[in-house]
Amino acid sequence: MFKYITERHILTIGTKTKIALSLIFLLLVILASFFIGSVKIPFYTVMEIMISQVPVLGGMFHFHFTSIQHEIVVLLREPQIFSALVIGASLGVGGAVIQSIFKNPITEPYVIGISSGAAFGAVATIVLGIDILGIYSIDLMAFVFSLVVVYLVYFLSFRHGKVPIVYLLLMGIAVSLFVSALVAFMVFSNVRLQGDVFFWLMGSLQQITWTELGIITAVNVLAIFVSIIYSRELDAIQLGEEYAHTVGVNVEFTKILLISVIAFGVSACVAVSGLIGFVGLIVPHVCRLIYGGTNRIVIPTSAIIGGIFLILSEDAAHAFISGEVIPIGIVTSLVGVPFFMLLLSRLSRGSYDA
Amino acid sequence: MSSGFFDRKMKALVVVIIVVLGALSVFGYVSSTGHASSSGPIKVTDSLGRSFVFQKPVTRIVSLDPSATATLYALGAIKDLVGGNVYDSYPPNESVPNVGNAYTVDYSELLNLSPQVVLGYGSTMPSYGTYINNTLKIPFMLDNPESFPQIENFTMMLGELTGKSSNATIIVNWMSSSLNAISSSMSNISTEQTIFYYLSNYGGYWTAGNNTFINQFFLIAHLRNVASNSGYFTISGEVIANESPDIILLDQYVPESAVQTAPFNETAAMTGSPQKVFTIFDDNFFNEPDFRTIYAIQWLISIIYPGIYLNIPNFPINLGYPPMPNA
Amino acid sequence: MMLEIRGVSFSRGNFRLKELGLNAQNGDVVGIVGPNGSGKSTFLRIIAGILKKESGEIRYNDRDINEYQHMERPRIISMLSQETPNPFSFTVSDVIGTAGYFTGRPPEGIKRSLRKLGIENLYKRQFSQLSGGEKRLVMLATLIYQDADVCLMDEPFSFLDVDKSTKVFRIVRSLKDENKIVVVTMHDINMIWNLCDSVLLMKNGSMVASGTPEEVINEENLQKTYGIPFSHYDSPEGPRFVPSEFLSNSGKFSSITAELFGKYER
Repeated sequence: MFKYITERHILTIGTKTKIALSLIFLLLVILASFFIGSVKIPFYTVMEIMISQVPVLGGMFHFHFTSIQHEIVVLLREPQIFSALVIGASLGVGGAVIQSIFKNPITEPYVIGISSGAAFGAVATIVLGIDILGIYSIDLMAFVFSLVVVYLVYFLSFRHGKVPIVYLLLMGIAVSLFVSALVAFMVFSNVRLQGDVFFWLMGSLQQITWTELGIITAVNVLAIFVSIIYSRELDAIQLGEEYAHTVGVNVEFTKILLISVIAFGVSACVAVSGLIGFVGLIVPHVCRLIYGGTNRIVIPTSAIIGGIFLILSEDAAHAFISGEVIPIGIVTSLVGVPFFMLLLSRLSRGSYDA
Repeated sequence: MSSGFFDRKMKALVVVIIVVLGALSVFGYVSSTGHASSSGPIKVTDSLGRSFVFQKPVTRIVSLDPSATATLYALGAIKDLVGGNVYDSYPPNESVPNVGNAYTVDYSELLNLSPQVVLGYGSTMPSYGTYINNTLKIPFMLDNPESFPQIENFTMMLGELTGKSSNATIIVNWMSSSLNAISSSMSNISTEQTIFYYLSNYGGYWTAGNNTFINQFFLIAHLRNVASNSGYFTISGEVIANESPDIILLDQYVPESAVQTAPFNETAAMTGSPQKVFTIFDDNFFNEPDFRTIYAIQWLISIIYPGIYLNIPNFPINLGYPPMPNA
Repeated sequence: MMLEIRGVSFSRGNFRLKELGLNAQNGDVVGIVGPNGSGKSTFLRIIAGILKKESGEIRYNDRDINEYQHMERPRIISMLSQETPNPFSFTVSDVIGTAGYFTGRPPEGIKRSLRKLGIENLYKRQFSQLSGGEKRLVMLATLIYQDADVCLMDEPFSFLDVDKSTKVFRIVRSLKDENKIVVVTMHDINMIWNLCDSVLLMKNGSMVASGTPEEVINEENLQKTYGIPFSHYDSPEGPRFVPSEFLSNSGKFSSITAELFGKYER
């Protein structure tokens, strides 16, 4: 991955140091989150549980922790931390890619229909009582319909063998509103389930299992990897599609490829977590303000900053009220917006004036 | 099958969110009933403390509150009901037109029925209530009983409103003697088990804590709720795992598969033999606060303490559709 | 390098290009001149392969443009568009660097191309903070850095002050000296004499005339193209053509016109 960041391109020492510091900070945030939760588990106990999970090392000691403590750390905290990392990274990178493709700073991955499609799939499952894959029915339906809507938007936007970005944006908004109306109608027709639907839409990392985590990690590692590989094409596209064409980019192929991998990655996340707003919109801007530069820096750092941001949000969701977990979508906006405003005023250095 | 109570959950949830947001949330609660004499004008008060005066018992009622509909039936006043709502579940086979749900009211249908009073529920005045009361000039009475004394007041109020005070007294007395029977049976039980109520498995582990209607059932049944915060909220999975509740009570629509994994699979309820995971037989008995709530408590105690004998008297009024659960 | 274009047609809605053609080889500067909306930019986009021609031939070195792979094309064709991009947080060097991503041009060339335009001081600046004219010069620098054999330039002189348009003029000349083919759309009829080896006059998507400036630029062709009468007078640099209206009764330029055209004669 880092070959692409450092290779050949001008990277000041400052930026390299900042990225290194961010990685260290990410590691610290992950480690610290092992110790944060509603139930107090002593520091050394958590350490013991962590060491016990290391394949060879774990067998060498005799540990003193209860099965409940083990369950809390291994089956509750760890999936939450790592799913926050993966989902944050996915939304951050998705935002950076979609903003570049649309050349528009106020877009986010949801704009191409991911959110309305996922909501449609989930709500249909809840309201119609669809059972395809047991407890994973909602995941599957949300994922499938999310992709259905994205590709519907994409193919409706075709004009003269191309997908003009303005069409794509407007079609995304129009189709999303249409699908949202269908969702509202389903909810309205089955009043009893309004609560369930509302709860799902607010987003949560609470119930993500290791199985789900494995799947979203695989999909998103691929999505982020492809996005990083194609960050140079995205840079050129940000300077105009015609320009990109003349400097050697297969513009339409790049667009459909990147929209596809982002749709797959983000849809997989939305399917297991519900709708978590704000991350995809803001994280790429935070990265541009902190590190500056092109997508070769912005995309990988969006993964880092997105991960940090969502892990911290999840910690905050636990910490707000003892014993309760606030829906994470609420926290991301509550914590994120003031932070972003501060950053915008302190760091923008005029680069956003134009 | 519908239940208006879900909207109560939603409102409670919104309140939780508002508190989190740091906004000031003020909700007063006043409940009392009028104590008019049996003759002369009838003066009744709703849960917001607003008084209404009627010259004689009303004969045209629209109910947007399933609890009120059920109570009117038990009082023998169902013939006075000219309009119902989509949540009404008891008595079954309602023949009057639906006028609305918790969000929308069909005003033309409402006017067409020319009711003397509209009964609604909720802790705050809904916008359609203001419209019905102030614009359509039809008295809109709001109620929101949240405890047994409040259910009793509510029943008495409806009795006076419909001229069925004697039946209301009979029902209230039956409730009191039933509650007495329950508490005397429970006095033999000294242990306190812990319970987790799983309200919804969407978007976190939704549960009901203190100051909720269902929590009162737990107190009566000598159960300690592991959810100790107030209202409806998403509890941390860590708390569930750590508290390891003896009993898990699933809402009617939460599948048992939802408790097969962490944080539930290691709890006392799941690891004990037999497992103590119970699914509520019918949400309406738990969600609609009226005289039938007695049967909800009876069910809860009977499944948790299979050996206990509960001497609940038969319902004193002979009804075409018996009020007890079918099971 | 040979660029041969024959019988190119294209239509979109009511807009049509009909049977356009031009030929150029190393060191040629071809000017495309015509009124707004005559299809100059569309023609350039077709030459660049951005828009697909409906019929006709576009051959670079005897090979059809469609036969070139995406990765091959940037070494052959570059294009300066009229539009100025607005990337989020790119520095000037980031912007120029994109032109070398797929051609493997060494990054040292970025500074060199800026130096050619005398704007190497902009190297580390945020692109979005530059003035409009500076942004256009930077985009010209990307074209220089890309170093393709054929340089297509869509109205490179528009909206620039005298100093900056002179820089562009100088760059077109130096591209010619480097044996590149330059195809440039423009509005300044009289610059053609100093800049172009051949010229294509266009109106409503069709060719009015083509050939050397001496063959093409005359009162008759200009009137056909623009629909207004033109007159000419002789200057030390060759003939100068202006709309007849601009000439006062005394047969001299009005002062505004003199100022307008004077800038090329220093």
